Amino acid sequence: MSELEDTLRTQLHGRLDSVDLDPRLMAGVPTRAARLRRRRTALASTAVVVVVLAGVGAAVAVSQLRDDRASIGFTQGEGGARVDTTPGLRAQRYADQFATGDFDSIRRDMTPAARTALTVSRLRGTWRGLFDSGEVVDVGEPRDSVTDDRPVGSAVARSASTRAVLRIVLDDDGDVRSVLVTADGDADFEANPGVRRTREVVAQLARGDFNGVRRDFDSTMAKGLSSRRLQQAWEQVVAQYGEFQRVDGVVARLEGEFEVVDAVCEFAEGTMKVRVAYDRTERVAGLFILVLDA
Amino acid sequence: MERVELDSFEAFVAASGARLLRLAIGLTGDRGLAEDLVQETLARTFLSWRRIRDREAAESYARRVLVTTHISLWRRRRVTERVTAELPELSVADPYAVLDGRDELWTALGRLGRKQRAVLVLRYFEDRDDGEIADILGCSTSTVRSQAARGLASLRLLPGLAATPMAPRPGPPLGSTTDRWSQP
Repeated sequence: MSELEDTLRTQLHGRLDSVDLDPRLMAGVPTRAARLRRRRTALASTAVVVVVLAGVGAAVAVSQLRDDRASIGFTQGEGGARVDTTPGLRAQRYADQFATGDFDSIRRDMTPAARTALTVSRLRGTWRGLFDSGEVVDVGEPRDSVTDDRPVGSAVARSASTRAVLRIVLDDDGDVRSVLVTADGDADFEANPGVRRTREVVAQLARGDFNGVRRDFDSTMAKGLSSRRLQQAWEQVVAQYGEFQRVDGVVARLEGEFEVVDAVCEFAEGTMKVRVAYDRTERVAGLFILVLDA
Repeated sequence: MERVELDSFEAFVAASGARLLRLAIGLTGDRGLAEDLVQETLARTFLSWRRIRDREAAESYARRVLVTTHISLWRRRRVTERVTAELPELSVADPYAVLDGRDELWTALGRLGRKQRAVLVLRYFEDRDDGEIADILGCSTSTVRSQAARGLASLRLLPGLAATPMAPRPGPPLGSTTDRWSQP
């Protein structure tokens, strides 16, 4: 063990070993649990499993969910398979399975309600409706995000002519509570110009294309933020946090007349957030690189 | 919940609560946040208590809930983060900090990514092996090893633990040049 590891161990124990629980903390647990139960019930009563068919553009509500199942140790499904990957990697695994004609494995990881709603034939029909013109040649781009406090994973599958996104939403136990399969053109969130442009901005920053970043600046931004200054700023971020790794997730919202898009970016030594604000004409009206409060 | 169940849950809290709180402080770096995290964890465990048949494993269950809840809370916080026009200054070497290496190491631990910090706390405070940590975090052992290596590499930049002292690094001057939406 290195000196640092030894020091870390000693100091963690020195700081934490004497900590004890305030017994009053337990008093609030039943109330908090009741609040949590009400929130879960409210969420469950409005959640639906949807499958979006390629080219149809309409969501088909399959069933309402009301799932009370829970299991210890985050085991899941009838087979008790471990949750051993991130949601994005799980979505990628399911897409791989779909590509090989296995539409049953994902169902073992589903909540009972989702398993009832999403039969093998329904999953197969949706998938083959997307990829009727050719076999899947590539599955990748696993991504993790959170929607309504629930973990969401997605992955992209491609054939020669089609690109589709498989998105799964997990419950607190790691079971799949909904599956969404969309053709690329139906993935409205990712198709949002602000989201697309923000991902592009991050990619341009990462590869040093600072003129490219400035392409859509409005006049105020163009006057105030030169390529050189942008480069200096990015280089300082890299110096602090290490090489850029990937975009971890994108969140978009409206603030007044602006659309604000945050791209959470993983660097080798930490996480930052690139925030881009767009005006109504989709010009860039603001650009921030922000630290995340741990 | 029946009285018997409530009694057994309270016994579980009495036996395991302090260990969960220590882990929570290790993850959050703040006692107040940690107590909030532990109470949320206990509330979630409380809801599942009847279904937890193997009470010996209840602490493992609660530990997973605690770590995953911490990560999800972190994700929620990052979405609601306040907008600022300037990147806060970071990692400026404090000449007095070296006098208290414990605080400096603790502060540096807080600057790590959430997974890096969790891996280091689980490994060096709870003495868990990489397989157990992977199980808790829901990732592979190779991810655990890489996160640990990166975390330790970052900590080695601390003065006194590195061959060359960390130079002061002011934060980059970033922000919108328009004031139309840059107000906090």
